[in-house]
Amino acid sequence: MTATDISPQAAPAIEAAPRPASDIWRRGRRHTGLLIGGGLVLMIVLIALLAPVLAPHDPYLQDLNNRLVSPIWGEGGSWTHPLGTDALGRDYLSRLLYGARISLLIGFGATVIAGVIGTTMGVLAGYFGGRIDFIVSFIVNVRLALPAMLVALVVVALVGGSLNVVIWTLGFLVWDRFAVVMRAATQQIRSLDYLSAARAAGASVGRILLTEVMPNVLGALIVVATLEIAQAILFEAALSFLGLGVQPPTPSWGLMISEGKSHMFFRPWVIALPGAALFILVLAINLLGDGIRDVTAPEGRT
Amino acid sequence: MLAFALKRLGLTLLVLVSVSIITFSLVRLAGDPAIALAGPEATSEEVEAVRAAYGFDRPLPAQYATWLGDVLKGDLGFSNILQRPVLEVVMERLPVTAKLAGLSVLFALIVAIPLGVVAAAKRNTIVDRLALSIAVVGQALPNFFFALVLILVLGVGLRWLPISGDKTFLHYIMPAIALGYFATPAIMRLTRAGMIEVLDSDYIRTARAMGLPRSRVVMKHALRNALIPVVSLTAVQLGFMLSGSIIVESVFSMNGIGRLGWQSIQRTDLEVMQALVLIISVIYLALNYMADLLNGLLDPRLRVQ
Repeated sequence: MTATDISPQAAPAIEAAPRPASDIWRRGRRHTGLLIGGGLVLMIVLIALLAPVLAPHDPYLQDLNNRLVSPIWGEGGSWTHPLGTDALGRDYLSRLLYGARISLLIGFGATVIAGVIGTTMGVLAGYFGGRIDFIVSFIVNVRLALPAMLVALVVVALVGGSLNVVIWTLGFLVWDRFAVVMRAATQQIRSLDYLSAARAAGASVGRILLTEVMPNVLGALIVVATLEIAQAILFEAALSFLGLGVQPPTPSWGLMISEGKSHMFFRPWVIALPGAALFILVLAINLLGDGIRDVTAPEGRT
Repeated sequence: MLAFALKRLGLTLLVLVSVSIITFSLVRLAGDPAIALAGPEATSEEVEAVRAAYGFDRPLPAQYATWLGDVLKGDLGFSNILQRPVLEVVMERLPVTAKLAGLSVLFALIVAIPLGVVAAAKRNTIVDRLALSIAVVGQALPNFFFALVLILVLGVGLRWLPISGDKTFLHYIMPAIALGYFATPAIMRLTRAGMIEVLDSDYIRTARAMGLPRSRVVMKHALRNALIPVVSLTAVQLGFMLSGSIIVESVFSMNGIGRLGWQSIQRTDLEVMQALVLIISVIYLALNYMADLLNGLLDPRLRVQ
């Protein structure tokens, strides 16, 4: 089994010398997807950070006299609750704003864990090749054979759902793409002159990996990490939707869709709002990741 | 070719053994199965009795060996909650999921391959950009949310399709779309990349130079070669769909193994959970192995590695 088993879109083409910074900057400013994606991500990060300032109400405060109030454009909507309230009378806008924190926290946390595991395995496999490469490829294949969603559900069900459990479970499940891409990226620079020079100068393996290899695979790492954050966010939303992710009353967008499901026939907005939030965030991160790949890759998009 | 096939088979079996160890430990190590089985009101004597009855007091490797031996004999254990053999329960549910996954892959291929071919043939035009945009949007849409939107629009709004169950073919249409669209971006991108590579190659230029019409070159000569990598990607995606069926089957209340998995987790049916992880892995590995063999047959260069 080789890397061909793994979805080929997983490996962005990172070849030859990296582009000079000025060149990347020039291309970046003209890349529409990158600008839109980057702008949206920045905006959502700011919303998440400023949620306590921006939110008109406490996202946990229940008001049973004002349940399922329509948003401002609907019948009976008012500026008190611009996006309405949920089945427990909690302000929907405030919950959506706080929900951005949960999504970003889990997406980022899980990606950091996955990145450390996957990058270590991929760089070692790519640099040493041979037996280590075989072992790493084998572990990647074992991971891919396990149904990720089912395993995550089983772990959360048996250990209990909390923010930390979800982050660690996802982190330990989504490192495969890091390993595949980092392995390919390291293989491409393994036999280049400057690595031979470092070896000839007597640098230790650890030093070569950290100071010579890592800086040169960083571009590929940033691209995978960005795209993986999006995947982890979708994964968390799906777990929470099934009731085995983040637990109530935490305002997770996936959980909000799950809670709104039984009211969606007469009030479609209860699922449309968190669904749209999730879609925009994931789309923005993907555009940003694709954009970074385009402007840093030697030949751009093919 | 035989050596290639045997080597791949050996590796697949090794992966399978590792998967079975992980599956087994997952259920054992994540919590005390005796406590889970005995229920929340059980006394410590009752828990001990359950522990002894199931053999949970024996060392883990011994328990694993017994379990593996049973699995190889086709005995996947007995579900105490359903009071039935696990294999029977799973086999009853498998056809629904197989049909759903098959239709989903079909949907993905029907949408993705034409889009990929057109995008490659009209590279860097508005058509190409549109196809890529569809892929980007598709990848950002959560499938459970998309499934609910389908229910609202096609089921409740237009009343075209039934919204839950698995009785007729009509029941499968929305779930297949909800499960299949997620695979389309990957297949489309790969078809496009493969087509671009093939269209730039010498033999296509020769065919064109010999005066064959462009449409015929694209459809007959290029597509056939460009689709080789798509075969293995499709097998991988089919495997992922078994995992994705958990969400889609739960949303549409279809009695397949995905919903069975979710129900088993809700009622802590350890035996079924464990069997499902193993069965889905086995199907995934089998599909992968067949794709490997097919690729080896189609492309002799892969055999020497």
